[in-house]
Amino acid sequence: MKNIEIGKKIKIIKKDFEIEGFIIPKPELYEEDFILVKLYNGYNIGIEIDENTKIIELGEKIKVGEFPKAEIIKNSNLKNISLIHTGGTIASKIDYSTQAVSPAIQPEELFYIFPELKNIANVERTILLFNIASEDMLPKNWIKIAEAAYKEINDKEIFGVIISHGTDTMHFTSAALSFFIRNLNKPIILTGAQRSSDRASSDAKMNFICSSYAAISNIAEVGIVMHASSNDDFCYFHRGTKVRKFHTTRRDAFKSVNDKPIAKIYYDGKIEIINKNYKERNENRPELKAFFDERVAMLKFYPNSRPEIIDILVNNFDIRGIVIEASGLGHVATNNEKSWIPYIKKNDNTLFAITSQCIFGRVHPYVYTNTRILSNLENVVFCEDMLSEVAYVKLGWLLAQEKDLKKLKELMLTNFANEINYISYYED
Amino acid sequence: MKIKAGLEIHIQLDTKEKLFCKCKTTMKEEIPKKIIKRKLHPVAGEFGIVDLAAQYEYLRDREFYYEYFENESCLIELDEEPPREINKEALTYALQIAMMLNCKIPDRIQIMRKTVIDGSNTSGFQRTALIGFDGYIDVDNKKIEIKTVCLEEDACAIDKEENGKVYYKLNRLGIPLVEISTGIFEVENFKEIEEVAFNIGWLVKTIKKIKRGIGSIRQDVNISINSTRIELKGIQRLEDISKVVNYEVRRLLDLEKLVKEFKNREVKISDILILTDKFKNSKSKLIEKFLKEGNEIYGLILYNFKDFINFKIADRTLAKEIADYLKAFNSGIIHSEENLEKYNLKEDFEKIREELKIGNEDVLAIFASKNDIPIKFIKQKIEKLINGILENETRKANSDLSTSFLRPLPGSARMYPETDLPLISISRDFLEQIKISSTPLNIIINQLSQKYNVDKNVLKEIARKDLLDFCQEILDRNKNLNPNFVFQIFLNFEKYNLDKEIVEKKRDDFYLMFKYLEERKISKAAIDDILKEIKEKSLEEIIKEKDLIAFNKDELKSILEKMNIKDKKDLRKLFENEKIKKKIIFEMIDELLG
Ligand SMILES: [Zn+2]
Repeated sequence: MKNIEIGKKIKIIKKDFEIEGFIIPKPELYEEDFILVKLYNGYNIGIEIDENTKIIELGEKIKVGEFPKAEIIKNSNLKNISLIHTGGTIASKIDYSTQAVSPAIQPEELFYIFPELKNIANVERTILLFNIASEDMLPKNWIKIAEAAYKEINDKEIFGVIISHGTDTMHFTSAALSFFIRNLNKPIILTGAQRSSDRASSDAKMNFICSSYAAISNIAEVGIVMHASSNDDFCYFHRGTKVRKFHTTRRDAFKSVNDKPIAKIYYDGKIEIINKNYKERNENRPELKAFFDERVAMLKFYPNSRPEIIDILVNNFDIRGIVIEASGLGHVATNNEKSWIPYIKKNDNTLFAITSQCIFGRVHPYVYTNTRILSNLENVVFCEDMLSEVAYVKLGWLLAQEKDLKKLKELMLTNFANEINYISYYED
Repeated sequence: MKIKAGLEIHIQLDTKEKLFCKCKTTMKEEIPKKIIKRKLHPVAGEFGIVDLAAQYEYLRDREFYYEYFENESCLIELDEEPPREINKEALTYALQIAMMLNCKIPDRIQIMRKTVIDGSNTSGFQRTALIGFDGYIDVDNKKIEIKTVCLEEDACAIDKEENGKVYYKLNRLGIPLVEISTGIFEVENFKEIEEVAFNIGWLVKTIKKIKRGIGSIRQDVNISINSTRIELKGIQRLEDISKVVNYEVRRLLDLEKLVKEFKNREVKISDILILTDKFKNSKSKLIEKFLKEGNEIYGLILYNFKDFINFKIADRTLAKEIADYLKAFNSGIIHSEENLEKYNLKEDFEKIREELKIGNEDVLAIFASKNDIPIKFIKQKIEKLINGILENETRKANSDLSTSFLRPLPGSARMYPETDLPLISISRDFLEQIKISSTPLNIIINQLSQKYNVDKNVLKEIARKDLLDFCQEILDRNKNLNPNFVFQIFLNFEKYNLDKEIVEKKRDDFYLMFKYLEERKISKAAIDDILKEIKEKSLEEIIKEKDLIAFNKDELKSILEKMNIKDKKDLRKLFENEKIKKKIIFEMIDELLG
């Protein structure tokens, strides 16, 4: 096939038919010899090209529109917020000529996607920090996000910060920000979309609107604000250290664990506090402690799992802290031929933080003999009702500040951002 | 008068599973397990603009409630999970249909998202794929172009709508639907449109896997007169097409007439007036109710409209036509040229007329609504009319066969790729494998007309009743029966309130009836009695109760002898007795009397 520029209007003549349309790029991973044509009625079809196929260029090019922009109306009666974009599809646009998705976070684009914003807050600044898929986030990105958010909350004109983020690892980032920024004075809200904002049914709209209300609210916490249920009626303000993604696709994928969400935030701006344990907006000077020792790892225990992996992590990668997602109350194999105990004992320079793969509930060091055997080891700490992901971030953060194992153990059980609840309340 | 028409025929496929998930297509559940509330937001399409129809829906600001039925809906219908790969069974049937209609088949099929923001799709779009193009069908020796055959997911059926809340049933969403779009053809007699729809439907039924019942085949008709294009949706029965088109053509022609009349007068429209304060002390119960509900009262002065506000447009006045548009926004119109005493509004109107110095030829119209969106919308509509512009619209057919405004006609800027699914490769070998042969109706009618020596129109009518196959079966089983006589029996079906469904239900009784006719066990004169009661009773019961077993030759012979009938001239004596008449096989008399 001769090279025809993408977007050109063409006529394809084959043995038994002729057809006109615009040549458009094939989706990735398609190698075969066919061309994708956008017909005048809007449909795309693929036509195979062989030596008898004739293609005539018709001159014109497809007109693909610019992403629409809305006029920015700055309302001096409204509070200012900042938006930091890091990835995800809460505000995205598709370039239909290349099929590429990119963030649409210029204020005039945001006002187009979320016209209701103009009655809620002024988006004073939008910062395109990076555009990274959730799964590609690294601790160094958390640090960058924390630095950017810290800068914003130090601006007296800014009432709160919204951070747009891919949903898969959003709860790691929310935990990181909860630890990295101490003495918080105003809301830092993470939000995203389970259905991208280029579709009419996107959850992005309500998530963003509710996040805007959260950002100007009185709740000076790092939180994740996302759909509370499948309905478009209100979002939850989840505490950044007590939340996790529980569903691959549903709008209400995020749930609070071992804690109640702090508030319900309705589409119309009504805020209903359901957990009074939160810090109010204040005049404190926040402190940035954004560091992370990357020599941490997380392992999941399961029947027949190989404990030798601990040796490999420690010897080959100099791993200094390992979160073990243990079974039930905090068990690993103890009395069989694949016992983890000798490997934990042997690597006595590494701290082992025990959490539960049950997700809900608390680990307990004494109920059974086997947990006693484990918890009696010097380099093991049972992490109460902390989420594994939160324990992982916390361990990396602490390792960057403290080398002493004993002190580290203490710090792991010190509450920095309400990551531990000492009382388990009965919840439905 | 000649108009241009085109058809979009939607046919539900009778597959086991839905098009993009594994839910059942039964639509049997009645009580929803859950109801989910959603809103939709217009988004810019490929061309960077929001579709007009989508903008209109956004203005209406409705909330959508989705009724979730177990086994018949899942997270995919709820737009909570991406679609699964396309249902191969449905794809096969759709390709078979496309080939029957002589379409070309693309080598690769891409599933697209067609923006639909009236809430009937939870996602805000309908998944659709073009699987055939550039085909044709012969209808009465006229070649009708088949532009496209698409395979798409059916939308939710609406359950109810109240106060801006729309309730949709999720169980219809996702049922495979084949959409067949014809090219534009010119017609003078609107019955021809029905003919085209019928011929397409008839051919498609060859694949057998078509759902039955109300709503399983739906036809939309596009018509254009001069430069106005109207899409007519929701015509339930094939035989209503010509009537609905007729209404719409009358409506458009009357509107054109009105627009012409406007030119002779200085018609104008005022700015939007907010009259709420002026009605604060109104004695009208209706106004009191409006205000209590938190409505504003808006007004428009229609200058020089006195003679026009009651102008007849098809069967409605212009005011009624305006009210029809406002219904979409839960609003209405009251105007100075109607009986205001009915609402106790005469005084209020007179006072405002005086205050605002409204002339005798001018019309004052008021509207109650919570915001100014409806009045802005209607003002724009009237301005367009004043300027001689009839807008393109999608309208729905009402049960009285009139039409109502549904939304502005969607533009073409509403299609973009379904990025969650891969392209589908269609090999020529696969197409050869699944191809099934079918013969268009007009060819079959020509053949049968020659074979049975029956008029073509009779056969067409039988085909319409969907009884052609059954008639042929009867004639194959009973070689001695006169084909014309058999067809005539079925032609008279309406008289007895009988249809295809009853034939299906009482198949064996019908077989037996014709067998008895063939065997001379009953006479032709007995058919009337049988058809009258066949719905409720079995054939044997009717024959027994009405004593319809025909005389055999010996019995007839002795009756003739007893009554001393020796010549055909004397037969009248015999037929005077109704009961006896029904038991006589006429051919036997011929044989006996020579
Ligand atoms: Zn389903």
